[in-house]
Amino acid sequence: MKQDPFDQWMSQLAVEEPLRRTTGGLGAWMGRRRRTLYRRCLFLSLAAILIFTTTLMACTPPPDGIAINRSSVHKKAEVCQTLSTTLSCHEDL
Amino acid sequence: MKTSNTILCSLLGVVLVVASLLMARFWPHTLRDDQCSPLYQRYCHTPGIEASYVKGFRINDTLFVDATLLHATDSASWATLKTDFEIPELPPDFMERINDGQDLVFTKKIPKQQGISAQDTCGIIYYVAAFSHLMHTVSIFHTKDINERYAVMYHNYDHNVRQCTKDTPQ
Repeated sequence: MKQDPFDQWMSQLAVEEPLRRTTGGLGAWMGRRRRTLYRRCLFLSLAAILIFTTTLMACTPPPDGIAINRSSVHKKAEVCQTLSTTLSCHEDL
Repeated sequence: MKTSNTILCSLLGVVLVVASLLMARFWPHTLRDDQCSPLYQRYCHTPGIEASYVKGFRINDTLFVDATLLHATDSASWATLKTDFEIPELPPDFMERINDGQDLVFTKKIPKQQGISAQDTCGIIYYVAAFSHLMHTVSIFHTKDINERYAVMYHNYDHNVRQCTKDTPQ
């Protein structure tokens, strides 16, 4: 039985298209999509960790309960020591 | 390959989380200039005066106050601080003691707002200022009410009483 040329072309197309996509284009496309998704997830995770860190740092009280101005941070212990000394040996004026 | 990538990324995540927790725990907490007291802001750029502002300085188990420390690095700056905070000149015998290396720290209350005389008027918030003549420092404790002021002023008394009680042989 001779098939109509149009039906023949359609049936050929129906078979070849998925085959073509599966063997070449679709696989590569899926791979690319997976990699993109993977990168996005990684980026989002890093962003989440960064936000988490910033929030935690803003909310966590300092270990010794003391915050100091930026320019004196290197001499924090000295400043606290001076304040303690001043406080522990004074006379009312 | 896929498994090793997953493990690597999980490890990276864990390391980042642990690092962030450690940073949050041990990172020195600093304050911007605009978060500091007006007194600090007034003296922080003055040559010859080293200004520091501390938030949450521990007085006792329940009281934590903010404090500003002003340290004069030369005699001219110390003279400026003495004028600004109305620190009286000491009698010669006191000066001898200081020159011998014995410190003399005086405490007085100063009004929070500049330009208000030190009259004990109702409604004015006072800070406690301690002046160390030997170290050329002015420590201002930012007390909010009279109870905090008393706690700061009697810190020495409380501290000494406890120390004496501990040292006294039974």
